[in-house]
Parts: sequence; structure tokens; C-alpha cells
Amino acid sequence: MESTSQFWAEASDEALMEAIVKQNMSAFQELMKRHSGYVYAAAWRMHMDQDSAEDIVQETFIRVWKKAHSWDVSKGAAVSTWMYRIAYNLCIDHKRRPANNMQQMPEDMQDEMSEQADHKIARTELQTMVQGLLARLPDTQRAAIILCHFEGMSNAEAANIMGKSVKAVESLLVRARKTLYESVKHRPALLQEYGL
Amino acid sequence: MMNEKRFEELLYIHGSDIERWGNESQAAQELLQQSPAAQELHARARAADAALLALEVPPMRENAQQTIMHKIAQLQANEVQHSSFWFSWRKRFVIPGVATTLAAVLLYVGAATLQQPPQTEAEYADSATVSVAQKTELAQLKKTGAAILRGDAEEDYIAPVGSVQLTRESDAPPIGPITLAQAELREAASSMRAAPEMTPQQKPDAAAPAPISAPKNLDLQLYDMHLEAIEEEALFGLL
Repeated sequence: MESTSQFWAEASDEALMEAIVKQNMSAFQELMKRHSGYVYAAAWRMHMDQDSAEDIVQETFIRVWKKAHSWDVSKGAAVSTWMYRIAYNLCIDHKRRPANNMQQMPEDMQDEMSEQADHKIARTELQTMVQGLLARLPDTQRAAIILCHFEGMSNAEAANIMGKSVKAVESLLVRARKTLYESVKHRPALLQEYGL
Repeated sequence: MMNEKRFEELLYIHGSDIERWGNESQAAQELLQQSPAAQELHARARAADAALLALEVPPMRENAQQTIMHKIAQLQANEVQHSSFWFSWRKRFVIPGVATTLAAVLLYVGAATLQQPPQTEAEYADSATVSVAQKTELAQLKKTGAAILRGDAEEDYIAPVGSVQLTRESDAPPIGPITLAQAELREAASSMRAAPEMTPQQKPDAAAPAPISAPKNLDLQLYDMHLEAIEEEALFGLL
């Protein structure tokens, strides 16, 4: 058993996918171990909610299991890109459903939270403030920021995952960063904490 | 040197990490050292990016991965169970059902084929269900009918009853419609001989209808009717 997991730990993502197509549970477990953290973090940043993020991770990997045959190495997409694309689509779908995350809060409540955070420089409140900033962005702008800024992807990779052109993604990034950078200008607490 | 407009544009596209600006990062660094406006803008961008990166993601619960594995195992088990259930169901009911139906259909078709009466004269002659005596009698009747139509002498065509040679005792001629019809034919022929000779006008036309051919359906009863027809034809032709 240990030697099997050791074998899969050394295998490439592509080899794991080929094994998953043949319903290999060990290969699937290894793939999940490698990628579930990233998928979860991206989903959490999109939703700011642990339950939703875990639901999305769960649904993403179930789809990976079921649709493994549809991943084609000849199309040139990395396994991680394919998985992010599944997760991205699930995130967008999930956002359309009613949920009790921050995005669904009234905007004035979000403002209030952000203003409170400006006065009380506590770690958790700073966190809440940043969450508030992110939550105000439209879904596609937030997804672009998450992929390029948090996940460190190039604009082209993000465009591939989001199913948009590179120019479209750059346009999303410009609008998102303008909003974020402008917001920081009105929050000296953030500048003090993270600025020069 | 890069201008501030371009610097701002690249800042929004690529973020505050100037190293990621590609081949324009060197020019951007130079501008940043000289332009206070660029420095202010960059500082704000760095603060925002740092704040975003500091956003802590709560760790995924430990049982989340186990839940996924459990669900995948369930999916796999369901697939196996479904296929094995279908196989056993098919094995228990479908295959025996189809086999039984097929056997029943074959039996029915076979029985129907065996029970089907001969349809044509050739089939009748070849049929195993018709006795040798019946076949012989049929041939005799056909000859008699033809002789009557030709107007032959009675002795030429009327075979004495019982002259048919039987090969086996079980092939004894049945006392049925055929035997009776033969007797009627004999009687009819006798009465024809007693009738006055016809004038040429009364004689049947040379182009009269050809003798009735052997019937197609040689069921015994039908054949009986056919004999009557032959008799009538002969009588009307001669009268």
C-alpha cells in the first residue's frame, strides 16, 4: 500500500490522469493531495466562505473523477489548468445561487465593516477589510485577480482558464486593480500596515 | 525612458511586482527612482497587493478530503453494483425469458408447418399424409373424367371396383366420398350410353372449353365437388 502511494507520489499529473481514467483510486488520491489546497484557496477567495469553498473542492474533484476521460493531453492544457477551469466554472455557478457569504451582504454593511477596520487596527479586522475590498469586485474581476495575483499565473494562463482572450483578462485586471488601489488610498490603516 | 502613463498602465496590468513586467521592467525601475508620482502610485499598489496576499485562507477541514474519497468510493461502488445487478438480473430473467419465447415460437412454427394440408396437386401427390390407395384412386378418377370427356367406351375407362392393387392392408380404400363419386361416375356413364345420339348441332363445339384440369386444392371434400363438376360437364357435353 505504501509502495503504491510512493509510486503515485513520483508520477506526473498526466500519468495520474491516465490512471484515473482507468478508475485508479490511489492515483486520484494523489492528485487530490497535490491540488485540493490550491483549488480550495481559490474557491475560498471567490466566496469568502469555508463551507462553499469545500463544496466547490468536493464538486471539482468529483467532476475530475467522472470527466477524467475528457481531459486530453494532446490539447496542451496542463492538468492544473483544466482543474482550475472546472473550479472557476463551479465558483461562478455557485455565486449565482443564494448564499450567506459576504458578497450577499448589503453594501452599506460592508462599508461599515471596512470603516470599523480603519479605526481598530486588529489583524482580523484588517482581514475583514481586505475581504470587503475583494468582495466588492465583480466576479470576473475577482477571478482574474485571484488567478494572476494569488495563484501567480500569467495573464495568458488566466485567460485560458476563464475562457477569455488575454486582452479581455488584462482589461479585467486593470479595472480590478484600479478599484483596489483607489480603495487603499482611503484606508490609511492599510497603508500603515502594508505600505512604506 | 518610460513615461508615467505607461508606468500606471503596466502597474494595473501586472501588479506592483515590477519584475513581472517583462522587458519593460528595467525602464520602469529607472522611472520609479526619478518620479515621485510614480513612487506614490507604486507604494499604494504595493500596500494593496501586500494586503491581498496577507489575506489568510482558513485551512480546509481535515475530513474534507476524506469526504471526497468516501464519495468517490461510493460512486465506484454504485457503478460496480449497478453493472453487477444488471448482469444478475439479465442472467436470471432476460436470458431464460428470451430462450423460452424463442423455443415456443419455433415449436409453434414447426407444428403449423407439419399440420398444414397439401395445397397443390403436386404437394398432394408427394404428401406423406395421403395414403397410397387415395393417390391411386385419384389417378384413376382423373383418367375416368378425361375418358368421359373424350366419349370413350365405358369398358375402356371404368375399372371394376376393387381392381386397385393395394400394397398393404392398411392402405385399403376408404369408403368415403371418392369411392362414392367413382360409383356415381359409372352410373352417369351408363346413362350417357343409353341417351340418343346427338345431331351435329347438338354436339359440343370443337372450341368448347378445355377439360377441367385437376383441382388445385385437393382437399377430399373439394375433390368431391370437383368430381361433380366433371360429371356435369360430361353430361351436358354429351346431351
